[in-house]
Amino acid sequence: MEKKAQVEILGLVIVVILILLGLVFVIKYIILDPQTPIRQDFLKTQLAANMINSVLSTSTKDCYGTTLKDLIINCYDKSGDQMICENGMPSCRYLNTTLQDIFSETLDVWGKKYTFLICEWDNDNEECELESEITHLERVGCLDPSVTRIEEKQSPIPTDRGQLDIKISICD
Amino acid sequence: MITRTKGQMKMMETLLILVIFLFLLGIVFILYVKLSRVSAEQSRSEDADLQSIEIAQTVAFLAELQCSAKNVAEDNCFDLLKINALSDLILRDPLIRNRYYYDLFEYSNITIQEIYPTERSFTLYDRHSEACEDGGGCSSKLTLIPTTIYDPYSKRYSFAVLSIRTTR
Repeated sequence: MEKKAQVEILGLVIVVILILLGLVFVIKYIILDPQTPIRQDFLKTQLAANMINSVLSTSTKDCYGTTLKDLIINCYDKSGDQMICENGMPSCRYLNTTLQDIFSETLDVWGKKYTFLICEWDNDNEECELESEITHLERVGCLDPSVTRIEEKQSPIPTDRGQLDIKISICD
Repeated sequence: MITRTKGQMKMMETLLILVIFLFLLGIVFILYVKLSRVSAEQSRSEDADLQSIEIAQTVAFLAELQCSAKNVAEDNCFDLLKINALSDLILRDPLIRNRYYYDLFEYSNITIQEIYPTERSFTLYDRHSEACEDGGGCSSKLTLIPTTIYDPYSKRYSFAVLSIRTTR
């Protein structure tokens, strides 16, 4: 009689343990499951792609109305014919000032972490040559290895001297 | 006497099993309610996210605003003359705002802010739900998309930001 009761209690304990295990799984995988941030991913992708495209096609205020893309090409062409803008600034300085103005009014104000690079593309290593940077802007940069969830967009600009690469990274 | 005690023991055992069963049932019920609530909230938030993305995409590719040359639309660009024409039309004609564009933009505030070379703002559409105006519980999502504005007179592009705040 005593043994039968012990077996029954053991059975009950096993059932309770199984139910608790089930509950633990439900809590872990359903309740605590992090939501896929669809919107955040979409916005980051759109932001990175549109930022590059918009910046490249923007016309300058007082540099003969040339686009920033043409200014980048002129700045890279160091053959001695660097354009002097209407306000007396050489093209490279004008370019950097304009980009700083645009980024400080947008990504900086919105509190986004980003790195924006314009540099010469190294065909051998298939990467940007950091020594040949024309522009490097960042806010709490994304080059740190500890940073996760980075959205990167690149746009190549072919020039007479070689290929330039414009890269923007936006991270969380 | 012995039989009575045995019967009581049996009853106590059954009662204990019933109590444990009811306790577990209670936990499962509470979890089910919590799960349903969490899943409803997730679904609502996901719906709001998708709605804001849909409206942002609709505005970004709106034929009434997009730059075009020889009938070919240009991505990521709004025509300055079209911006002025559309904002005037929506402002002047409440029927167009409340019927046609409400179907597209629902309750939202859509503005294009020129950042460079000059700073100015164009409000294209603005409509809030009554619940929000009364200070009731409503959620809003802000979507910011960098873009350009093309001025056909000067043939220059300005850097701008399309700002869409959806409320529901």
